[in-house]
Amino acid sequence: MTGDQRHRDYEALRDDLAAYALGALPADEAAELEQHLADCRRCRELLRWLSPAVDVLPAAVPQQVPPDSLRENVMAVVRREAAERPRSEAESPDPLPAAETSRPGRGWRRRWARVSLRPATALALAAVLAAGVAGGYAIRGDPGPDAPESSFVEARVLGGNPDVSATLERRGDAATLHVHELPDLPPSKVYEVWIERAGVMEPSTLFVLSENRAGVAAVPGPLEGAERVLVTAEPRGGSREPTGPPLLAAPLQ
Amino acid sequence: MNQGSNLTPEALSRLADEDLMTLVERKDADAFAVLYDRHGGAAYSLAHRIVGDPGTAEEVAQEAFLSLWRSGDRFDAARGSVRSWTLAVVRNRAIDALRRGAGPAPKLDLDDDALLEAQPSPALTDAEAIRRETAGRVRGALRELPAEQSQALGLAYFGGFTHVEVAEKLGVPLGTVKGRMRLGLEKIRFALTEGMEAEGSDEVLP
Repeated sequence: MTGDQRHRDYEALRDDLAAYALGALPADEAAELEQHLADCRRCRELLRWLSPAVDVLPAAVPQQVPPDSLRENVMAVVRREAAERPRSEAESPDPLPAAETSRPGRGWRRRWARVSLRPATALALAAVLAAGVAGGYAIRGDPGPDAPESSFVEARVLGGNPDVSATLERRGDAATLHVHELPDLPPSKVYEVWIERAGVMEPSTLFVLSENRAGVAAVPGPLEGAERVLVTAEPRGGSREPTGPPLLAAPLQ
Repeated sequence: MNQGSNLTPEALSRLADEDLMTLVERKDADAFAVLYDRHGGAAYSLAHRIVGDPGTAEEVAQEAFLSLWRSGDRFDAARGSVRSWTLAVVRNRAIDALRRGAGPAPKLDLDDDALLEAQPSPALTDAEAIRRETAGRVRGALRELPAEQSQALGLAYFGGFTHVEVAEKLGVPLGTVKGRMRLGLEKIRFALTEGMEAEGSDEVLP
């Protein structure tokens, strides 16, 4: 897109930015706008300026008193997980700086964006593209110990970044994803975990990286009948359907 | 290793959200409980407003808080406040739930008058006072918006409709709907800026 065209479209872009900030842009348009945002400081500034207006909308809502069970249930999980020793440290030996080359090509993202309204198609396409980009290596399951307790599966990296690694630890009907050396994201993005079921991507949890570019994400079940756990980078707050290509994929079966 | 902060609940309750998040990074459950107590009401209320059903609202709010807990190992303030981050997750999850369950249709009116002030609340901290002031300002700004603008904002934000869907619902051209969304948001944004003059340093519209 040329600078001239950008200026001509500026008014239309301002409208799109407002819709985007509200979460009202269809996924394909949102992905295209994000591409533009990456190149256009003016639009980034406008979006940053506008965002607080969206952030305060919840203040307009009638305030309710949550049921006590909400606090009890949240804190029960939190206290249980706080008591568990995270298992990730032992698995993260690699001190290598992540390559800065993991950004997928623009055309690739565009193609993904165009079809992302149809998750099954998008995913199939992404899998094909990823196989090309990554040299066709297959997702490799680790048989793991036969104990019914925990099994570990190594996730494959779909962006072609050799430094990234991830392990999915499955326990019963839930799992924990341990990732290492994923690229740092810009402040407007988080990593989002997806569960793929019958070709459809269901949003799961969000995570960000710690100082050493490692991350741990609990993936609540049910996982039964699901095919894969995937990771994408998404706008802050997460998305309802992927807006970018999957970066990691771990098979569940 | 689960080292608690060794801070008393009173000391924890005096910490800013961002400081609590540094403790949450270290899996400090007590620090997280303080965050829950600060934002649980807003999170649940937003979820309830969107899904219109207490049970689903509770599920949505629970998911959002567990997301915050689990993604807390590097919470970057540049990503926005803890509160807006949490509420953004609530909003997205609530819209998901709405679409999955085809729940009751979302209400369209924004300035419902059962307000923050009605919330039975513990001590009114400074942050809470500012929040209420902000809430008052937002509601004021929303009340002054032309009905068609607040309707477009409400359908998008609380109803989870895309601009195309909003245009179809209202039977007006897409460009009109986009314009309403933008004008409405810009007015709210200017209302916030006016209220923040004391803090200065707010950019002008680029």
